[in-house]
Amino acid sequence: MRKSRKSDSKSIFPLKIEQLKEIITSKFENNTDLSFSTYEHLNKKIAVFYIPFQVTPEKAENLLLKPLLESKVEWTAASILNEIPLSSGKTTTKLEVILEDLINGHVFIYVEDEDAVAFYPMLNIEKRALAKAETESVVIGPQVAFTESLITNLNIIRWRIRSTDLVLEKITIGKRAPREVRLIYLKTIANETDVNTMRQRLQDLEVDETEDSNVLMQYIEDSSTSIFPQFYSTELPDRASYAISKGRVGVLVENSPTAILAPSTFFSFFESTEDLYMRWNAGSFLRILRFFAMLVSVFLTPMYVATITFHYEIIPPQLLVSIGQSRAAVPFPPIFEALFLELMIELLREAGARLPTKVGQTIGIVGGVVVGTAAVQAGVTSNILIIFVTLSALASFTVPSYLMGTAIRTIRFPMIILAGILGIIGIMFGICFILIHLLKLTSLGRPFLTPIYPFRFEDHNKVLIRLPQNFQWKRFASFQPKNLIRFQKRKADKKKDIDE
Amino acid sequence: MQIRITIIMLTTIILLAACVPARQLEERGVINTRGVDIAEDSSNQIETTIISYQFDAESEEITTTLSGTGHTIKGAREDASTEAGFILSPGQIRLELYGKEAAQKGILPYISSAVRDARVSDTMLLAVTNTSAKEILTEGQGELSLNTGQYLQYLIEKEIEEDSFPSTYLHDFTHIESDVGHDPVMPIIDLVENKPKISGIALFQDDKYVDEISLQEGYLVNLFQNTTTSTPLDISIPIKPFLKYIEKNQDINEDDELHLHVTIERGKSKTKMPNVQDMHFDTTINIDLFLLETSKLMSVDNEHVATLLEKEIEKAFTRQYETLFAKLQKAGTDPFGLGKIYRARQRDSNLTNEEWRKKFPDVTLNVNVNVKLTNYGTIQ
Repeated sequence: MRKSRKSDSKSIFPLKIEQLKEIITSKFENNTDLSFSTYEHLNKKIAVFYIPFQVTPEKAENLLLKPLLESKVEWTAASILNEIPLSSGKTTTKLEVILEDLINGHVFIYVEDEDAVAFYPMLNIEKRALAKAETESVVIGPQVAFTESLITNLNIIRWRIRSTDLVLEKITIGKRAPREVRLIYLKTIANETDVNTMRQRLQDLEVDETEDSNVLMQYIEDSSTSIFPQFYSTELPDRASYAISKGRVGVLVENSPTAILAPSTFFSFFESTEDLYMRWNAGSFLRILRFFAMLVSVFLTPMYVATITFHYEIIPPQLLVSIGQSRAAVPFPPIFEALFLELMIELLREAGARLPTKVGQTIGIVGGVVVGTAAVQAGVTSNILIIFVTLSALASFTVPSYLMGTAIRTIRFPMIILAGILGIIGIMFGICFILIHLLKLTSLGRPFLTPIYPFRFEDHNKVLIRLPQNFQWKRFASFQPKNLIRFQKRKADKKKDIDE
Repeated sequence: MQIRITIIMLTTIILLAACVPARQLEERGVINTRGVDIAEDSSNQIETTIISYQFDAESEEITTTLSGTGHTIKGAREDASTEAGFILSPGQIRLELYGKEAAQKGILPYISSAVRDARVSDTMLLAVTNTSAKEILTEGQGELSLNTGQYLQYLIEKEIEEDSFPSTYLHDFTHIESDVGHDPVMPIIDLVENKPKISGIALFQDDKYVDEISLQEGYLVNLFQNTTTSTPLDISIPIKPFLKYIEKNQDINEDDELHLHVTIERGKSKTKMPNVQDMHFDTTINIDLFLLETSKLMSVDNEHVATLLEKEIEKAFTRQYETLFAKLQKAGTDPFGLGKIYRARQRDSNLTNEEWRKKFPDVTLNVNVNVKLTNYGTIQ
């Protein structure tokens, strides 16, 4: 839309400097920041204008103003581009471009009565230095995380995948406050339909602005009402580059420290890049542990509620007495007891997340230890439930994706309520409900539960059990990459050691 | 559309919730052990004795013993629950005891009540008492710190674990009882100095308690049917053949018996019926055993002694099987399951329990025991 409007508009030049100044300042009404200075050079009036804090002032002075005023060349729009030793200069005749690029940190030079204005990018982007990943921290492997600067992020990705196949398509999203978005894929590997779908979704998106990649993700996901995230949002460059190099599509958004990866399966939310860096057996163990933790997190407290309320016969006889005794002191039905404790844990978690790290730790100790023990002694909850709730809260934090972890924690609450009113039948009902939903979900048009459903045998060496690297000679077949074969297994296996 | 479906489902759940009776654990009296007797005053009533857990924050005592009478098990339970402030629930019964009198009349009605109730576990233990179940459960408590029911469970479970007698879980009993040509057995609990103890094995004819055999014989029954592992056992053999291997300076009489304590590491049996017409069964039993202890000091340091021991133990086993089988034939009960083998050998057999009872006294059984002494440990 914006592009067509640009081409329609007519040139506003040539003009007098005063006229130009008036036009530009009128557009920047009440914006006192605009710096508009006029110089005399060889009897020609030259105007230099920019927005100071968007531009690096030293650069503008040393590289532009100095040669401009010290040179003996007679300046025209064309000669500026030729004579000033900077490669990124351009000329334009359109007011829209001038206004837009002023905001984007360009310095404009206009020689009076010329029919174009020359401008140079002298961007001054404030950014923080690369830092360790916080939300998806890993023990071994690359520690660095994406930052808010798109250019830095692109730079990291480029350095990680040094292939000429890597495409970083630029798409602008947002009508009122446009924002640059990059569609990243390997053109010889990524499935073309996936790339096209993603590009289409990004281009068709007509919103005023996107705040962050996590917001953009919600706009373009297959089902925006689902509780489960369908695209993986990561702050780890190695995770992003791994996914892209295996044929997935990545999206980076300006000013956002997370990349979107699509398509994703339900299982990919439980995978960590660490699993790849570990030995295969340890990696597989951790992966299975995480799935187990997910089940524990969703079902442990509901099972407690269901067994205490309805199915006392499945409690192991050795546990029966201790559960019964600790329950006897509690005046509430198990469902309220469980909801109360779960809410308390969520409270602690939320408080810990909002508070500064040092205070957060104290809150954790106070909440967990003091309130926990006190609650049991006061007879508000049973001690068995404290164990269960703590375990399931811990288990939910093992999910590498924070978004998925939150989804799992949220699911627990309706499950507890179902367990409280219908027992195990209610839990089964909840499982069916979630399962049907998961079966219906798609991620970029691809089934969310693949390779379990639809079943693909060849992909199972990457999902629950990660087989050794030289068994992984195929890419993830469920996503139908253009090129399925990564390497020849036979050649990779052969170790050309010299026999003594 | 989706919203409508969700609303319909949610309303269904909420409405259905009324169909499931919710009763929290701490509001129940969870029955742990139940004893079944014929009521003393009127013989067509049942008296149950119930040991149940009740959870009360105020009291230290978590088990209570209740009893009630009624025409049915459940009726008796209802009667008993009038004594308790809790609703008695049968979902955690681990042991059911039948008084001698009740067992002699047949326990199938009680069993079927347990089988019908989906809440009752199939792995509930069954046992018969030598007196009334009530006596065992109330007076047996004595100085026991555990409740009697729990104590008996551990006792019986340990013995089953050691393969000392066939397992007597509810599902085993119902299975064997309903098989044609196979009769169940159960441990007998008796009070010895106010402490409950397993005193023997009860033989059943269908669901009726008819006779009693010793625990040792109970092992023989188990060995006949199942593969047993790691069972401790005492065996007595004549001392005469071993006289020269026994250390001198011991007071020995030639007619004494040598008592051995062994562990049957592995015992396995196979029964064949070579010829259907002559009603003869051949059983081969292979036993691997460790010799742990001898009553007289002797050295088992050469192969000759070992073979001699093996032979004598074989003889002892065969002798025991012969006496046991004679006893079984007299009692008219077949815990060996010979009838099953007989039935399997016949084409289109419609063998009934009655027919087999008639045939059973004429059956001949030849037991051939092979003993292998695999380890005689540190005995010198």
